[in-house]
Amino acid sequence: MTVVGVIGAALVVAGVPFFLFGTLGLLRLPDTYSRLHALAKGDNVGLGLVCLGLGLQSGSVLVTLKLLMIWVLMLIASATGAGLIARTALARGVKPHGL
Amino acid sequence: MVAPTHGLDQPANTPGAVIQRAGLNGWLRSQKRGSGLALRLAFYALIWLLLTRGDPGSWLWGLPAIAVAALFNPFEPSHRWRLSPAGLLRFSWLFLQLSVQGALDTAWRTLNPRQRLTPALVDYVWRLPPNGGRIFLANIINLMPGTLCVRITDDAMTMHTIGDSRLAVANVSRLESVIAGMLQQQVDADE
Repeated sequence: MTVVGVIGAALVVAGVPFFLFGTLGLLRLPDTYSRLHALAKGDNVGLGLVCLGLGLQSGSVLVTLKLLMIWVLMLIASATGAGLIARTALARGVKPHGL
Repeated sequence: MVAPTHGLDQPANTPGAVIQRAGLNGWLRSQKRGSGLALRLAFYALIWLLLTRGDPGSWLWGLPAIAVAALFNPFEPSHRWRLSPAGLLRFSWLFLQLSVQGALDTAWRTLNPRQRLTPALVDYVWRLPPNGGRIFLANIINLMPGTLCVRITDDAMTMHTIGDSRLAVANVSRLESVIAGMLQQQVDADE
């Protein structure tokens, strides 16, 4: 395995715990709002690291850019989705936990 | 408790609304006026290149698809967007920094939510002008440490915070300044 391949694999492995914590947050946190916090932020960094790692392993600039594009599209979807759910929840009177 | 949300959430310049006002021809004309057709063509061609990994045969379908897609301006044609390349770099760097910080912060709170979750609702008054990246800021803070946008009005947005809310406001304020620099808009200095 080349050095770049090893770095790529390390990045993929480093990305996995962020997904794990996002899912853990979904299960453990008390209300809609805090669960959205955990999901949006965890997946952002987790997928970023996985895409970057896979891109390095692929050894192709086009594939790396395509993976980065997937990451950016997912960021847009995740940020917009979290915002829509949060705004709808508050507009419908869902009270944040502890307030 | 919930104030009516207006203005930003009701796009008056959707294609449907414009076609109703100006007719189909008027709308098509407005698409070409100062709306960066060349930039969209180049950008969509790049996306196509990435999607197809540069397969030459794919351009047979790609070119018409790009041309048709580029004809539709996703932004208001009357509004010109100016992007500062240095500002884009500054924004990207701050975004990456805050992303990692945000992911680590939420992971740490998830491990012990009873002690580490201090929820609050905070109103943040816009410094960005209307029509100038407010929605972008409101969405991007959902990925930043400890902030979630839960309401947008003409004057302010309400954020749900799960940590130190003063730190969260400081981060959002920094981000707002950097976004204003990226879009070449004037805002008051950070407080």
